[in-house]
Amino acid sequence: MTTEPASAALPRKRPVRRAWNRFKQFFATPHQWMGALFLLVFGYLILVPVSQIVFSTLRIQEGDTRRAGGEIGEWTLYYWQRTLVGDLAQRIFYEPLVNTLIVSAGYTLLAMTIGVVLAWLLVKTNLPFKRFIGIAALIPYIVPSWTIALAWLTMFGNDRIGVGAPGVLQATLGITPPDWLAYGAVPIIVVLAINYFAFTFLLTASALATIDGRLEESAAMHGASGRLILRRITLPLILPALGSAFILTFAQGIGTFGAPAFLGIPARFYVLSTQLYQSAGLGRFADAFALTLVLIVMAALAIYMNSLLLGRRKQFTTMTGKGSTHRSIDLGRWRWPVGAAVLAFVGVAAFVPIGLLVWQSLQMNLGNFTVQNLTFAYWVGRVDGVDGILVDSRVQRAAWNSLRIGLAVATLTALIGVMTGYVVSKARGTWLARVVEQMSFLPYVIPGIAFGAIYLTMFARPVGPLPALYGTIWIIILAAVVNRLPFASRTGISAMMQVGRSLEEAGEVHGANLFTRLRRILLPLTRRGFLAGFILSFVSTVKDLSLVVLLVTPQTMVLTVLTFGYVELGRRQFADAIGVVIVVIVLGCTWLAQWLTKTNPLSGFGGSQT
Amino acid sequence: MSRVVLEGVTKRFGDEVAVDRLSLEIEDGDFFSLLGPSGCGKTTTMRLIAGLERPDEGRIWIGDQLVCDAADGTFVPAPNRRLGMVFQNYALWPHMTVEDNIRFGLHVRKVPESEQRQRLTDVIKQLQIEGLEKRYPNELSGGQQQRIALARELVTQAGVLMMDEPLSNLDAKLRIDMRLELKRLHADTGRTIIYVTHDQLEALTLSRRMAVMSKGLVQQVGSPDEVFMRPANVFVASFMGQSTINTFPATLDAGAVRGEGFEMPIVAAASGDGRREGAGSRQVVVAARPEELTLHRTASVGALHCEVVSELPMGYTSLVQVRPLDIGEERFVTLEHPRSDAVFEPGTEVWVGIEAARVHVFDAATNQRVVVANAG
Repeated sequence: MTTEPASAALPRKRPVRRAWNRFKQFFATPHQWMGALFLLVFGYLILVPVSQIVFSTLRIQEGDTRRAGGEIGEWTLYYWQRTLVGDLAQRIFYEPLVNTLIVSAGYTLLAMTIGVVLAWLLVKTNLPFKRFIGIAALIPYIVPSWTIALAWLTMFGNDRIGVGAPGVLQATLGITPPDWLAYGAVPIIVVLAINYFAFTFLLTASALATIDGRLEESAAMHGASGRLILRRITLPLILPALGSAFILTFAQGIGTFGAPAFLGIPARFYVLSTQLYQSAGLGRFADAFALTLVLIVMAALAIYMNSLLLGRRKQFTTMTGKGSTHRSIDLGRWRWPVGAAVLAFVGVAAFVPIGLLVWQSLQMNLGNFTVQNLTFAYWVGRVDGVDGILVDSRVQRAAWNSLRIGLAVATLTALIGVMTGYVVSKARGTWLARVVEQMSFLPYVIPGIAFGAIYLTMFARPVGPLPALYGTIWIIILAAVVNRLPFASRTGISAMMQVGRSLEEAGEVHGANLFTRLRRILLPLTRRGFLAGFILSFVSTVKDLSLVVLLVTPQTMVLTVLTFGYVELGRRQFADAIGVVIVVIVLGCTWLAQWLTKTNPLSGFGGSQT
Repeated sequence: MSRVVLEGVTKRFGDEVAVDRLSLEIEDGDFFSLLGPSGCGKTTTMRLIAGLERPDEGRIWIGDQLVCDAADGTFVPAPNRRLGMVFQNYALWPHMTVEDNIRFGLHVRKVPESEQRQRLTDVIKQLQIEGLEKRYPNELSGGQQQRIALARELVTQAGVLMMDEPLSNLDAKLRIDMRLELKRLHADTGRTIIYVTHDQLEALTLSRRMAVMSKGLVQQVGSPDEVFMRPANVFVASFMGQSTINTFPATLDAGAVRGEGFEMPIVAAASGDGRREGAGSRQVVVAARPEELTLHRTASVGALHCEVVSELPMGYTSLVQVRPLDIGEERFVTLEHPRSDAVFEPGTEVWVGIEAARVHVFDAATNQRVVVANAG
């Protein structure tokens, strides 16, 4: 022995060496430097942009020097005054705000009602066709909401507003749907409810499935009737889950853009997200940012309420017991009628929108629903000097952009997911794990369109080490990666947490360095989860409209924004055809992810906004 | 040389002190057990030696290498410590076959292929796990998994082998077989083994030396016999026994230990450190395991007068619960007695013999052992 411990002197103070050793240690401990890197990068990509937009609503912007009465960059309350109390406040803020609240409350309540009834029927009763209903109910949630909005117009559109083409009802039955049914609050509420009910359905179903069946049985032993058990036992037990579902559904749709754009803008019905788009389109970024901040605050409040609720939920620990013995409630003579009704509803919600899009994409003349009018011209032919979508080079370029952006985002988010998962699982219980986890959740409260607006201005010119990204696909990739971060890190954390800590430590003891441990132990064990995460990231990037609508340029055009453009031009058949292509990609990839994990990849806190 | 030395090692998790100024010397070739109830810091101690945790204070040597010094931040990470470790849940990699699991460490350390094969064959023979090479861990029984986990550590030929409750997931019979096997392996390989367990019987049967821990502190270090026969304090005395220990408050003076209702003559007393006691009486605690007390049907000098409350037959012996008569408070004493004697009906009058040669005396204030010599 070089040093005899028994006779070793008390440790002397060696501050320099100690600091150097600490420094070396920090970088020899992978989860620490990874955590630090993570905080640095995402601090820069999340906190800096948000604080920048706060500042830009408080400083005079270019072009506003005369109106705001000051020099560029001077502090001002001009924009907030304009938004909150000015002459235009009613039109650019209060009206969209009230509309947003009406629409959000409306679709959330409707989606909750459908989702809860469906969950109860599927989990607790002997409803027929359960398997099919369970799968079909997820389809409207997987397809982008704007495709449902387009299908709505195909069904209920009238020739007075918008593109002026009649929908199915008007064309075949001669009934002219009133304007309130074709455009505005009602259709947006219904479309978003159809889009989101599967989310509340999944949350409620898993809550119902984890109730210990004995709790209900002992109530029955005390002589309680089925109805009483439902009211006094089952509902109170899942109430916190319902509250959580309500808030999360509300938060998810608050900044959604596609459906309100298609169903609202033609009738001058604006919500915050479409108003934000309008302001940004006019170059009034400070106004847009004020709305962005309002959206962020609303979403953050909702998430905060949810965390309060989930905190309280701990007192309901009984419900996390094993989902044991389930006694199916016999629907009796109602079994088949109810089954048929549910089947019809779910079938309509899942398949009719897609069918309508296909049908309309095959119409030579818009709004003519006869067989003689069918054509493949919009798919493979040429109409008015525009090629069909399968042979159009612009569509092909957009498809290529969608594809490579989707792949890049999926790859990066998968890597970041691995990294966050590793850091959080390795450092669990420490402040580092908590900060990384919370930071990765932050983008959840920033609606897609708000993200677009923020990144548009932040990366229009060179910032720090990054060159000007606007006009390249990198700005879209960057925004999408940060936007997907909550989902990616959640996938990563749960996958890594499932791998017992000792499996990695056994590798460590055997002399394997970080790279070897990742390659030989951690990645092989979490492969399926990450592959599913990769595919879902790809899917949500390909179907996304809210995030990219402000960020694309003609060179970086993607499929969804191209669709949006066709709708604005009134070329519905082209839009519908591209919509069908996106739906096919999205459904196919989701099925693949589900097959890979053998679980439901949509469970958790939901997909993304579209 | 595979000696392991810890010096003043402290590990905190937040405000909680998991290991408190721990110093240990584990000799080369030792079979050393860390024994204690759950949460006593024994697993943390092992993880500190392995390099999976970093101490807040203190130093650790493995062989002649200083692997850890909290004072200047020296820290050799786990991959470079070249130790073996069997985890409580075995930590077999579920995506690798048995062979890949065993060869992982050799592969990582770039042992030549031919030697890998040779060592694999040897260890498979040594642990009698032939024919399992191509299976996956989930296709093995618990006992087989245990052997694979052991094989995976033996094959690397690390000088120090650590085991964290390795037998706790096995059923009772298999556990006894594996104990014999471990003892044989230790004799065959001559490795230093550090063994973490909460099962005193495992520690007693396997170890050459052991440390009893509680609340992050080492309570006693010694051979199994020393620890069992001469527990250093009340905690060790009560932890090292099959059932709850009986304690009696008493007074020690020159001639005897006197408690309420009993008396135990002695000739001399010294503190645990061998220091001779001066004159004057002091407060002590007499601790006796059920098998260290004797039961009599007739009165004898100094014995505790009791009546039988209940009897729990346990095969050859039975556990008899009695209640002392003639004392102020209501309390119970448990003792073990051969079954060959007649049955004790509740209410039977009996006398409990407490003899200095069999029981343990601890200072009431310091909790430390007082060495007493029996007069009888």
